[in-house]
Amino acid sequence: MSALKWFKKLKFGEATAIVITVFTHWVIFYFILINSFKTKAEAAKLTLNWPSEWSILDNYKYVLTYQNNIFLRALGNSIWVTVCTMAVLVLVSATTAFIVQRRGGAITKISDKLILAGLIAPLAIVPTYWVLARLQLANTITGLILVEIALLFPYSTMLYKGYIAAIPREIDEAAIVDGCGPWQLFFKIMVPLIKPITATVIILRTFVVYNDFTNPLYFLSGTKSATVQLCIYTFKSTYSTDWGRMFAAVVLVSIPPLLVFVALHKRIMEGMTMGAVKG
Amino acid sequence: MESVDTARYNESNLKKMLWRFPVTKAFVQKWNGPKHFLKLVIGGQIMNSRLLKKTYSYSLLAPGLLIYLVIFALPTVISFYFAMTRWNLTTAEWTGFQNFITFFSQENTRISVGNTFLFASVTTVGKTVVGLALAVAFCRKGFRSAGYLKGLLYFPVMLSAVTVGIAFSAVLHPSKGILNEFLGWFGIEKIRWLTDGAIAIWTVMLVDFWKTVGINVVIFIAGISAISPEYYEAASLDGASAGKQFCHITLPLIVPSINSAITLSLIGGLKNYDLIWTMTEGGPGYSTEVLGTVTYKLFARGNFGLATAGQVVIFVLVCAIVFPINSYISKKAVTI
Repeated sequence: MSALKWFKKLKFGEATAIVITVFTHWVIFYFILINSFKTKAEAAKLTLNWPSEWSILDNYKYVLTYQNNIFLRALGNSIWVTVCTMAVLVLVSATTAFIVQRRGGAITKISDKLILAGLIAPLAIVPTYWVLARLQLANTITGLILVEIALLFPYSTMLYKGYIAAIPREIDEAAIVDGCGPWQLFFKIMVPLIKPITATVIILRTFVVYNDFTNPLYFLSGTKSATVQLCIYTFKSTYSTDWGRMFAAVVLVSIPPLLVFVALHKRIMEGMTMGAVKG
Repeated sequence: MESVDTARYNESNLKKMLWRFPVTKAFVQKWNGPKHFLKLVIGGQIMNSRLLKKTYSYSLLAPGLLIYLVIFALPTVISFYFAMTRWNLTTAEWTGFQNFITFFSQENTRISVGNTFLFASVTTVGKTVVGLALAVAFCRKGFRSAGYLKGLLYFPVMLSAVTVGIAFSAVLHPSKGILNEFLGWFGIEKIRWLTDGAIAIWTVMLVDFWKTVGINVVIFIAGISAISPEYYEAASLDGASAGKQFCHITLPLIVPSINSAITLSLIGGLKNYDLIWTMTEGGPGYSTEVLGTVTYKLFARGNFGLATAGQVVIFVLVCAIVFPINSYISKKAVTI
């Protein structure tokens, strides 16, 4: 009731906007969800109707177990790639940003310019594949992780650099006087101070890695269903008429971003603007 | 822009940090004027540059930079060489500009260049204009559902292109999709959204708009809400209309936001690949081929030299379009 009252108090334009979102967004979400509950024959009609026969367990169980649990293994791979990428990315971009921000000199300046260029320049995929092949890392998860790190590195380094610039140098100096070495200074003094920006980087970039389709497609080209995104793409091409199960797969893949978005939407949108406004 | 995160970093934190080290504590407590300070300097207790260099050591810089250089920068450089070869990943035979000539004379690759331009420019303009309009509307006083609308528009950004692509392939299904069903109520005949070569690319652009317009809305809202309300108050006192206020206050002050919105949209548009690939795979015919899709097809076929040439084209396009636009807009920024 209170929601209705709230809605009634809105101005006409605003109320219209909310009604429009029902058609542009909610109908689509509902469509995917309700059809993932239907049997193959009924889902094939692609309607918004209520299912006459429920097939929830069958559809979802099938997605989770088909081809010897390939979906679950892909999910495991995706999570592994995401976690490793984020862990290494946060560490190396924070240390790099720390030195680039604090230390003068030609080398750091050139590094800085090079890293900034990476914000805009696209990845040269085929030569990267060749480099990875030379390192015996082509079509391996490790290779993919390295690519993801390199791709996200400029952006997160930029975020860290901006944040570290606001931390007074006196803190470093005090610690150095006390005999802190480089690593000690970074881990004992800097790490606690840069926690907030680390959270931002992780929140912002985790789903870029999780949702990535292009790079797994190229850099894991030996295997068809290595990550969840590749997996549902393959599912789509193999079972193109089985909409019920396909939508079940879509729902399953979308659950992690949904949960994180519901829990952290304010932080996510805040973080999005942080990097963007500085350009 | 002062971020919230920066604000969280406060003085008490700093003090805690300092006080953790006994010598620092002594140093601060024993501060006895400049003469005493000089003594400490002579005593070697104040930093010299050698010590600083030792502390800000390259060993901290190296790991990240190494990964970046080997996996990102090096391939970019060597792509210019391999683009001029016939290449099967083990042997590369120099062919000069042959790959580029082939690339621009073959029908599918030539079409893909035009489509990439079309896709990037239309989506960028659309997302920037509509995003800005929505953000301005959401930021008006008394607009109470801004949080809901902003969140809903942003949510698809969190979804993967593949899931969005699959969802819209169903929604836009030519014979039984719900969109055609809906349009049928108004007597509009069934439109072959993704299978009609003349409109398929526009359909994909629309889906891309649906998926990513939220980014621009959020960026613009942040830019607009950072403007001090005093400017608007002063302008209304002087009798400036809402339109004038927008042109002379809002627009000049959100130039940095406009810049990043355009830059991000352009890069995204020029590099777009996954959404198009999931929805049409470049078809029907070559009507939705973009640089990303033809390059992948060339790669999958083992035509590595030509694929690299395609990537060099993407690289040159992105650099030639994004860098100048970026620096042009940022020159327009107003500082107060």
